[in-house]
Amino acid sequence: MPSGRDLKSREEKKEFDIDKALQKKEFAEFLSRYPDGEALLEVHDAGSLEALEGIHDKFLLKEETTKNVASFIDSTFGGELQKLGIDFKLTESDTEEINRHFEMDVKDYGGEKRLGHVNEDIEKFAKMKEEVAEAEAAVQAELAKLGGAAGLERRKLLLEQAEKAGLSGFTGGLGWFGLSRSDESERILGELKKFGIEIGDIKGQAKKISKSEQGLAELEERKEALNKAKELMLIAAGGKKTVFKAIQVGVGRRMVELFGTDIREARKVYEKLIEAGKGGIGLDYLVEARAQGINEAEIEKYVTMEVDKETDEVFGNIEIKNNAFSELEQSLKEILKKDETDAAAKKRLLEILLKKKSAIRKSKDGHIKALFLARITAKLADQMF
Amino acid sequence: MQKLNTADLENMMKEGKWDKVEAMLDEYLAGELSQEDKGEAYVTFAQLYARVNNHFSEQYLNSMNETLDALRKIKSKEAEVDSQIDVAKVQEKIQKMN
Repeated sequence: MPSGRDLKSREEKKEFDIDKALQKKEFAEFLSRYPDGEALLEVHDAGSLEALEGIHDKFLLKEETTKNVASFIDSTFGGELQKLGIDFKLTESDTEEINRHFEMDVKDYGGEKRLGHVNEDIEKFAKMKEEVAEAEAAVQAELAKLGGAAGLERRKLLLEQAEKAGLSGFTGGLGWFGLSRSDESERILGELKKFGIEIGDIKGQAKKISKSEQGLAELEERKEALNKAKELMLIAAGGKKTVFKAIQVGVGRRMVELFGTDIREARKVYEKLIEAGKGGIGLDYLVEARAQGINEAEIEKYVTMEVDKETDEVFGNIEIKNNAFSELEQSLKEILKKDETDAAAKKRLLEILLKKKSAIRKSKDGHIKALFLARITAKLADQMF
Repeated sequence: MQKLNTADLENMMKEGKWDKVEAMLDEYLAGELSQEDKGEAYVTFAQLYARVNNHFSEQYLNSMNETLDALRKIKSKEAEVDSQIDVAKVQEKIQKMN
C-alpha cells in the first residue's frame, strides 16, 4: 500500500507535465543547459515542484544577469576605451564565459554568491548617476536664483575659474576633498579678494549672522555676509565638481590598468597611451586644464592616491571562490602568515609575483591572470606591511 | 590550472631556491583557465567598476546635498534678515519724524 508521502509525491508529479513542459522553448533550453538536466530530473523525482520552480527562476535570473554584466562592461569600460578611438565589445564567447560562471554559482552556491550582489551593484551605479545629475542641477538652480544679471555674470565667471582650478582652497572649510591650493587657485583667491571675498570667511560670516543686534547697519552687514557665504558655497561646489570629474577619469584609468584589454586590443591601447603622453585615458579634463596653464599635478596625485586606495579595498573585499586564483591566494597567504618564513623571503616572493603580474599580460588570457594577480599582490602586501 | 603544491613551494623558499620558486609559479600560471574562471574575472571586474564608482558618487552626492542644505538655510535666514531690514527701515523713518 502506498504511503501518504508517496501519494503526495505522485500528485505533485501529476501536476507537473514534463512532456508538455519540454515543448516550451525556454524550458527545453533550461533543461539542456542547467546543469545537464540532471538536477532537474533529480528534483522532479523527489517530487518537489517548488524546488523545481526555484531552480527555474534562478535560471532566468542567471540569463538576465549575464546580459546585464556584459552590457555594463561594454558601456562603462568599453566607453572609456571609446575615448581612445578603440571599439571594445565583449564577444559571444566572453559572454558565454560569464554565463558559465553564473551557472557554476547557481549549481554550487544556489546563486547566492554573486547573482544578487552583481545586479544590486549595477542598479546602484545607474541610480547614483541619476542622483548626481539631479543634485548638480539643483545647485545650478540655486546659482540662477542669486539675483541681478551683473552679479550672476561675475559669479559665473568665478565659478568657471574655480572649476578649472579644481579649487582646493574653497573646499577646505566646507569638507569633502582637502586639497591644498594650487598656483591657479591662489591667483583666483587674489581676484576674489578684489570683490571683498575672503576665503575661510565662512566661519566669521556665520558668527556675524548669529549676532542679535537689530540696527539697520548691522542687519545690512548680515545680509551682505549671507550673500558672500552663498557665493563661497557655490564656488566650492564648482571645485567639488571638478575634483569629481578628475576622480571619474582616475577610476577609468585604474580599471584599464587593472584589466587591460585582451590581446587583440592591447597593442592599440598602448600606442594610444604613448600618443597621449600621459599613461592614462580619458584625458580630456587634463588636456583642458593644461591648455589653461593650470598646475594639474596636485589633483592628479590626490586622485591617484584616493582611487588606488579605494580600488584595492573594494577588490580585496569581493568574494572569489572556487577559482584557480583563489586557491593560489589562499596558499600564499598561509605561507606568508607563518612566523618561520623570514621577512626577506616573504618580500622576495612578493617581488616575484609582481614581476609575474607585469609579464603575464602578453600570454594567453593574460589580462585575466593579471587581474587576479593584482588582487593577490595587493592582499599579500597588505598582510605583510 | 593544476593545483599548486604549497608544501614544495614553501620548502624551496626556505632553501632559498628562488629559481625553482619562479619556475613553479611560471608553470602554475601557464595553466589553462576554465571558462568559469574567465567568466568570474569579467563579473569581478564589473563589480569592482560599479562599487568603486558608487563609492565616489556617494561621497560627491553627500557633499552636494550638504551644500544644498546650507544654501537653503542661508536663503531662509536671508528672508528673515530681509524682513528685519524692512522693520528697521520703518522704525528709522518713524524716529526721523517730527
